[in-house]
Amino acid sequence: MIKVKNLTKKIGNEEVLKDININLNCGKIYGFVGRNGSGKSILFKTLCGFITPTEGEVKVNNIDIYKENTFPDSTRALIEKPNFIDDISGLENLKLLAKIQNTITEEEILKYLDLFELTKYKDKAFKKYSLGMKQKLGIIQVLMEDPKIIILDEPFNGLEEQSVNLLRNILLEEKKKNKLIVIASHIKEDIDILADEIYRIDGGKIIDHIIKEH
Amino acid sequence: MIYCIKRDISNFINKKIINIIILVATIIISLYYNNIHDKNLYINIVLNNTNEINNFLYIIYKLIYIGYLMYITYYIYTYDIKNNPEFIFLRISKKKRAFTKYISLLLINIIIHITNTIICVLFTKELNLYIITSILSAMLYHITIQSIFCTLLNYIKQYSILLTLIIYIIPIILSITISNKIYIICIEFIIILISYIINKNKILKLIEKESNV
Repeated sequence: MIKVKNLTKKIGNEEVLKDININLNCGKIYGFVGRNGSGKSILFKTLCGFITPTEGEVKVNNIDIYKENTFPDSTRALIEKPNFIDDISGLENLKLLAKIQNTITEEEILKYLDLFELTKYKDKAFKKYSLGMKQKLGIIQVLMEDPKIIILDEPFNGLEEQSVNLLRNILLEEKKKNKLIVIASHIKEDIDILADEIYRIDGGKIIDHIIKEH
Repeated sequence: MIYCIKRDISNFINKKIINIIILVATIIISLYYNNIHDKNLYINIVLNNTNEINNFLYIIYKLIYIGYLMYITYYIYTYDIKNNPEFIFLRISKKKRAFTKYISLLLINIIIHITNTIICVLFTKELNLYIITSILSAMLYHITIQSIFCTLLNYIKQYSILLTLIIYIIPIILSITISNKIYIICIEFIIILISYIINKNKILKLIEKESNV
């Protein structure tokens, strides 16, 4: 569960996030809609513990990540474009990342590569990947370790229709496993299909909060 | 940890223009100095391991070299804050990350010094115990300077490069030559250790500073 209270972030004299108050609970998908530069990415970075707020607090599972000087537990994210090690293969990149915590096997990585139809390209150097393939690899590194909180910033960028549908289905499945999923997109339709609650963000401020009825 | 180190080194190697500039500078200084009678002095000049020559070209080379080391240190220390910090920071503790940065910088330092030594050996066609000792001494000195720079970076980002340059240049200005090498090595190890202890607690602060750029 993520609880954000009175979150304000100033960079220089500019307020990039203004008095954000949100509660995000497990078992739901939250969509953040807004134009480019509206503050979505900076909000996501703050949720991950990368940007210290000027004011306010961010609690993940009741731990104030900035007060405790830590990063949120069991959280995986993809914010902006994925950047892996250029000279090694996609599979090698994922294997090395998985080795940091050592919680999954190579078979599980291969399963996700297969799911996103990257098996054929698994041994190709990352720098030779197309935009869509890079994006898929970024999504796989989020999903592969079965995190409790999933944060995705513009996950559908560069994906073809088939992969968009696949990712939508995966996220709906993950939701059923009582996971907290946060997605940002500047395309409202992406969010409309998936999200249980939608936050509209503009100029660093939440301007609208819609709770969808199912 | 291996992922972090591989990513750091890969990013360092991909900084092609800056690496070519230092390579060209090393070759130019080699062409200028390789004819001097004292081959050991030439090697120490290329490795930036001596303050004995006050030639203008050498001073310029020294400044380019330290500028290069500082830039690489800054880049390696901060690039993953700008490029997908979530890949690493959500998987690894701050303490471990600070430690891997030190290992990466050490390995990059070894690559830089080995490249310079290869250039020296190609010019002098000589590789002896003195050269190997000089490489190790130069590496330790430069890692110490990089560690000081990392620490300053955490506290006073804007002036850290200037202060590091001053620390680097003081021995030249004062022409300090301390004969007891063990004494210097001990001091350098202590500086590296202290800077690591400070940096492992300060890495989050650095993230905050970077995001403000």
